[in-house]
Amino acid sequence: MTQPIVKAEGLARQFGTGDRKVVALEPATFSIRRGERVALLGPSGSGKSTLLNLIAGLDEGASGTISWPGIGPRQTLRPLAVGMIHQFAALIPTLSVAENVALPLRLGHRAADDEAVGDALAALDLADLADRLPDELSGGQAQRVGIARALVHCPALLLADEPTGQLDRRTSQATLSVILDYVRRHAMTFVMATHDPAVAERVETLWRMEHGRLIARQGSGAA
Amino acid sequence: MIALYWLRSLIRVAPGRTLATAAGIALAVAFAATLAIFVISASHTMTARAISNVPVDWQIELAPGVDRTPVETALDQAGVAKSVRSVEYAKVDGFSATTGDTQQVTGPGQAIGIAPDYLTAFPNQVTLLSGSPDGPVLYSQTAANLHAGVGDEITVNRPGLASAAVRVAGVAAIPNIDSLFQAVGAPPGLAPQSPPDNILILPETTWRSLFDPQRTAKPETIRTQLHVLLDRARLPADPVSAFQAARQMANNVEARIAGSAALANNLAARLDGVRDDALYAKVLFLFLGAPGVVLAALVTVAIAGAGRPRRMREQALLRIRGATLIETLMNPAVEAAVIGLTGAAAGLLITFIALRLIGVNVAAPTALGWGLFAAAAGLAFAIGTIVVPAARDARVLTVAQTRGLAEMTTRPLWERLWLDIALLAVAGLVFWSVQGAGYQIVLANEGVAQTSVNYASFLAPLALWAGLGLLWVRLSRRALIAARTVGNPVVVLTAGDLAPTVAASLSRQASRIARGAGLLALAVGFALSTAVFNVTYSGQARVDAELSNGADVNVTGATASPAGAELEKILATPGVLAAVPMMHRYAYVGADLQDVYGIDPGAIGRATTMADAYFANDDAGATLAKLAATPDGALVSEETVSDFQLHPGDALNLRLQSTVDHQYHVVPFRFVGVVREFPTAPKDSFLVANAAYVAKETGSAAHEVVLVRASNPAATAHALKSVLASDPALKVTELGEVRSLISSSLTAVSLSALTKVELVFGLILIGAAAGLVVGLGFAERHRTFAILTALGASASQLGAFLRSEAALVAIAGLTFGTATGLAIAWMLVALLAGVFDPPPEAMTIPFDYLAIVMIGVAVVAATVVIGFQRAHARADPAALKPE
Repeated sequence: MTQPIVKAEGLARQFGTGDRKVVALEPATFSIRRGERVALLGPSGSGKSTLLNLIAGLDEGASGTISWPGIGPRQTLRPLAVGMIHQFAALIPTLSVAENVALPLRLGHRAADDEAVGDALAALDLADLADRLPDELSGGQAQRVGIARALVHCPALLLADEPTGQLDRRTSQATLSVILDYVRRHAMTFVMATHDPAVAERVETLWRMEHGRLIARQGSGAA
Repeated sequence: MIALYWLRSLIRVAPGRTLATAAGIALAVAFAATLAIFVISASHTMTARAISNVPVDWQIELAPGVDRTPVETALDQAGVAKSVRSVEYAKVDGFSATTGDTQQVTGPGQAIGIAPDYLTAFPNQVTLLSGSPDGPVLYSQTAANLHAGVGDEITVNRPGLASAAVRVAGVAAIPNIDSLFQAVGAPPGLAPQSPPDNILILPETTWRSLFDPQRTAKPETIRTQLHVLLDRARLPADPVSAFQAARQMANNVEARIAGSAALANNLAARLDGVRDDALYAKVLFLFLGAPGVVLAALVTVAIAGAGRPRRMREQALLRIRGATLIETLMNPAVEAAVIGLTGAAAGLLITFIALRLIGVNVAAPTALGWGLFAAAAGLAFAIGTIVVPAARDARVLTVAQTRGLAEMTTRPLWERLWLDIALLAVAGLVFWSVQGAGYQIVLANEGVAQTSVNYASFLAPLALWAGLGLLWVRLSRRALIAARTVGNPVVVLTAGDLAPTVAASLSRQASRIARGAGLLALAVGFALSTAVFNVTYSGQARVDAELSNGADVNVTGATASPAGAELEKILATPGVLAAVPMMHRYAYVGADLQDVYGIDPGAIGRATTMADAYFANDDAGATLAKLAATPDGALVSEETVSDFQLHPGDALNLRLQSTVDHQYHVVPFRFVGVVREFPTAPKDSFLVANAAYVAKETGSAAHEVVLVRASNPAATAHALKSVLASDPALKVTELGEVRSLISSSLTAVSLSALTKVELVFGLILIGAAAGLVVGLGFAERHRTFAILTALGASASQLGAFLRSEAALVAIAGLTFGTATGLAIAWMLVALLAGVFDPPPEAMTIPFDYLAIVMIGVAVVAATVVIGFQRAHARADPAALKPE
């Protein structure tokens, strides 16, 4: 059996204390195998983003453990091993489209890999916008730049939080195809949070979430 | 209600910026109020000091044959006099005295008769040196001429009458001899009358017994004056107003006594001399203080402006939800009111503490008035800074429109119009025109009630400030934009292999960063120019005091008991670094008795400053060398050169007193140079000659004065007083004592307290500019740094963005700021030359303060960088959401 790339045991997250305590993730135990493609399906506020942030190493659980046996310790995850597509583009306003996309390479000391930037921009139909600033883009264009930035360094683990939330249905499908093509070509592990069942259907494994609980897991990746 | 919600949210969301804006206003209010109150206090001090040294406020001379009673009645009716005493003057042909085998005879003189309680009413008029005031008192110069002392008999040679003998009861100096013997009622502009060299002061009864017969025989030789002390409590505290009040009081009395008497207004004359100092104090306030207040306002604008994008977004959100323009403006109005009131109240509190710390004591209503005015201005400024931009931005209707407005991508209008270069050209032209015209920035012509300040000259430093500020912004902006393509060594150094990315990011924030650098440059420029001016001013105040005292410490004796005789003892006293003897004699130039200083030109510079400015050719070394090379050479004061129409090389026959026969004999000198100022010399007429030549020609090598350079003047003077206690004729004075006595010059007003306030304020401004502007810039880009952290930027990589920006602002700010500070200080020293007496030869640069400024900027910038680096050490997914 393929070695898990992420492994969690009793991982839970809550915000606030006392009367203001909000449980964002009930204790969850799971593992994700290398090359697995997982969709986290659930309504808004169900804890999908929280779980993604924990898997990305951007956040830490209140209890339980999480490890990345297929990648390394938390501090080695970013910028190169993990790529993340955020719900909102999260672009740096003072850098151009190309510079934003190249950032993970720069931060990972792979500055010479400019060809990858061109490929990512071309794949997402952004080549003509390379020199524009984020303020000069539409919401959808900015979202695609965020996706290109997450793909450019071909991370071992790609995480996507509502990656097509800002896009119309047609562009959404096309963009998702580009992402999945990258995932397949580079044998990435892919975890995507979405509230859209049609988007979730594009991957093999489906995890459902509700009120912070991981309630059902279907497909090859179910632990 | 919505305004209160806004306020609560503001305090919750942006407490730092809200407090910083209030702090900026507090700083501006405090600085403006402290400076204004200090200047008022200084002018009050000038008035108090000036009038405290006036021994007799008015001298009213009765017309010949007029009875004094109606004049005294007129004075009573005017109700301004506190004390009135009559003084009788009688011209005499001279005095004579016999000591040993020789008889000394003086030239013409005056005998004055005073009432028994005259010296109680006017204690500063006569300083008794020896003996008793209850009897005939001989003027010290006359006593020296006659070789007479207490107990000796002298003869008074009365015109048209037989001589009369009196026994000397005391010897005294007459500190205000010029005013005591002034020509009362002389037309304005007439050259002042020289006082007599020979004076005898008699009790009124003695005077009457000697000179009532002379009044009958030669009435033209007798005159009567009423000496008046005014009720000074009625004078306003400000010198200009006090001068006018003193004149008006005199006018009133003159109208009452017209035809019976003439009035000499000594009080107004003294206040007249202080008026221009008071005006200079106000000019200093404007030149030195106003830029600080404006700068504090600019920092406040920068701080308040940092919140503008957020405010715009929130306003747009309110408007698209149906809020009216007035409703959207209510929120910033409440914000401005709260910030303005908090800032103004804090500013007043700081003012109160600062004034207490620097010991400024000024009448409460005046201080309160200025404080409230500054506070009201601060509140108005807060409204202008927050509400006006908000009203302008109110036309922005959508949140989307607010994007991209924060950073100007096009060159600003002033840059396209080359306003910076135009302003620098204006500064140069105005400076050149006012300097070239040999103008005076303050005009308070003696005897003229009106005063004027050349406000046009303010344009030069004003345009220089503005022009340099804009030029630095232009250069910083250009350099940042160019750095994107050509690279920037600072960014390469601070960002390593992230340099291209960092340079690209910084170049797109060029306007914001350049404004920050420009603001820091102005703050550094303000602090440095103030420090340079103040240090130069303090140095000149010391030179002024040194000129008056002669050196750090001065030991003065007389020809009979010269200080030079104690040179060995003086040199052996702890703290004495150098001691050089100097002669102080008198010589007749024509009929004019002048001070003569006999020096060793090669040695005098060891004990006291020989500044180039002391000599008309602005070359102390060459002038003294010429004197040394010409044994019979004499340096002559500018006034004497002008009065006697002398030319270099002219023979100059002076009359000096010989120690052999105590008579004045002609001694030939050669005029070799013009001296403007000299240690211990009076301002008007004096001579400097070679001591060896004076000794040879007068038969005495006695050096009456010893000038001492000391490491600690006060301590050394104290030690010297002990060492020389055995000879009561020797008087030891030091710099500090003299400094507090100089009352006719602005340098008498200690600026040290104000200097401390300004320098501390300058450092706070620099801290605010470096810290708040850079820090608030970082804070507004909180999301950018959160994104970088989320992408995996290490602490060092995040630091590259922070370090580069902070380093660019700090380096540009310090470099341009130092240039600004030196340029402004140079212009101020040149424009305010009238403040300095004597004028400085060069600016003094306070390198220690400059080092503090540089270290301060580095520490503040490093603290901000480290603070933000730590704040973003951990990823914060919540911060990734759009604001």
